[in-house]
Formats: sequence, C-alpha cells, structure tokens
Amino acid sequence: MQPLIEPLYDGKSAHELLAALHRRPGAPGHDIVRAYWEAWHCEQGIEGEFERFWRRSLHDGFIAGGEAAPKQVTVAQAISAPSAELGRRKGIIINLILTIIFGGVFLGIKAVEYSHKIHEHLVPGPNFQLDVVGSNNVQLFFSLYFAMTGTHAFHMIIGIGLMIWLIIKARGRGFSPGYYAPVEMTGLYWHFVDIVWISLYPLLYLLGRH
Amino acid sequence: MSDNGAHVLPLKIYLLIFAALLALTALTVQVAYVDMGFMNTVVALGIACFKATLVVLYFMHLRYAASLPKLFWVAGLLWLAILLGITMSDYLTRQWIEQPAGWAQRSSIDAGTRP
Repeated sequence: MQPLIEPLYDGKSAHELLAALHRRPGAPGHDIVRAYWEAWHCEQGIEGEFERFWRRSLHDGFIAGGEAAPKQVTVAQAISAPSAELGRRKGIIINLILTIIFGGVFLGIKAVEYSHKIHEHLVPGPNFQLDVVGSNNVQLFFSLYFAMTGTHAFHMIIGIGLMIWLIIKARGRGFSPGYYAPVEMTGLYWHFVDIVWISLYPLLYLLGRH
Repeated sequence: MSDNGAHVLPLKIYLLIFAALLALTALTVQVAYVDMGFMNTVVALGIACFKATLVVLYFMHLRYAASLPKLFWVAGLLWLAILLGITMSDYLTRQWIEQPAGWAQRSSIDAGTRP
C-alpha cells in the first residue's frame, strides 16, 4: 500500500509485468492491486462499503486485519485445488511402480550393452583394442558414448530413488489434492531425463548407420 | 494459481502422445538406414526435436501452463543455444587460420637457450 510515481516512458511496474506473465496483459497496476483487495474484502465478509475500506486503508497505510489473511487464503486454495485425480493414492503407487519397472528394464539393457563393450575391449583407456584405421577416433567416440549414456543412466538411478521415496510417502498418506508438488516435480525431472535420451539415441546409435 | 500446476489431462491424451512417440522412434530407426548424405543428421535430429516438443508440451504440461513457466523454458533453450553455439564456433573455425608451423621445435629451442 505504497504511493507510486507516474510511470516513466509508458513503463510497466512489477505488478503489471507479473500480471502480463499470468495472462492479464495491459491491466493497470492500480486496478490489479485494487481488484486483489476488493476480492479479499468480499471474501473476508468485512462490513461496509469497499470504497470506504479502500480509502481508510490507503490513509492508514495498512490493512485492518490483514495479518490474518495468509492462513485463510491457503486453506481455501487447498480445498478448491482441482486435482482429485492426484489425490488417488493407489493410482500414484501403481504408476510409480510401473515407471520404476520400465526404468529398471532400460538400465538392465544398458548393463548388457556395457558388458558387451567391456568384453570387446571397446572401453577407452589402456585396454582399448580395435584393429582398424583411425581407431583413435573410435576411442574418442566411445569416450563420448560412455560419458553421455553414463550420465543419463546415473540420473535415471537418482529418479528411481526419488520414486521409491514418493511411494513410501504416498503409502503413508503423505499426499493430498492440496499437496502433491513432489510428485509433480519428480515427474518433470523424469521427463527431462527422457528428453535427454530422445536426443542421445539418434546421436549415438543411429547416425552413420546407412 | 489453479492454471499453473494442477492441470489434469485425460488419460487418452497421454496414451495418444505415447503412441506418437513410439511411432516416431520406429520412423527414426527406419530413416537411419536410408542414405541421404548429410540430411540423415538433419532428419534424425529434426524428429528428435519434434519428440522432445511433444514431451514438453503434453507430458510436462507446458502447453497448459501460464506465460511465466513458458518464458523460463524459452530462457533455458536460449542458454543452451549459447552453450552449444560457442562450442561449435570454436570447432568450426579452427581451420580458418593457419596453425603455427614448427611451434613445438621452436619452443624446445627456446627452452634450451634459457637458463
């Protein structure tokens, strides 16, 4: 509730910038702040006209009863969050177990692949052995291959660890329609690792096949 | 906040995207055996980019996110482009200037004359 100066050169205030990024471009800062407090005023069920409350708050420099607002707003949000889907405990656990199984199959294939490479002396280093022209380039390729697939597999192991933690937490009723951020975040992480593999697969396995 | 995280998509869309990703993977493998010169790389990475876009838009819900997460995603891509771009600018331009000939010998002579 601080007075503002007139915008310089049609500039945007912090409120206006944030509102524009949340699908409300062009709304003047004054209206945004006023709309927020008008909704709050209505929600709190404060007696009297909003205009009077607004003028008084501006004059006093603080919102009467404003300190109690945060608690009430969060509870209201938790109840209204439209995520009944994510509140289903069994669904979460089954999907997590399936994901871990598929991830485990991938890592198993990787283990077979690595053991083949070790048997064929294709691991860069003193044991590398290949009797073709330009075997140094092949060694360079395999150092990139092991670094990239290894980093990817390592991140998958981290993801599987996170999902085991999620299962334990979900079993203990740790998630609700109002609290599921860890599930969402782990999902985003897992898909990021997925995107890495989407580009690694053609780069390392397919280019130069023809 | 409701339009930020808590977007629940119908299962059908997930299955559809999953089927599309599998089909595109099969396509990349098929295309890899056709000789198209340098276009092989372009096609393979093009399909990979398309698949990554599907994952980001639907599996990571970016299509239904507010502008702020979208902006962050684009900013991330920008930094990745800078990272790869500067690396490639070194790799591609190394041959543009002459490499100093006999550098190794001269330096060994220098090393020999110095106390």
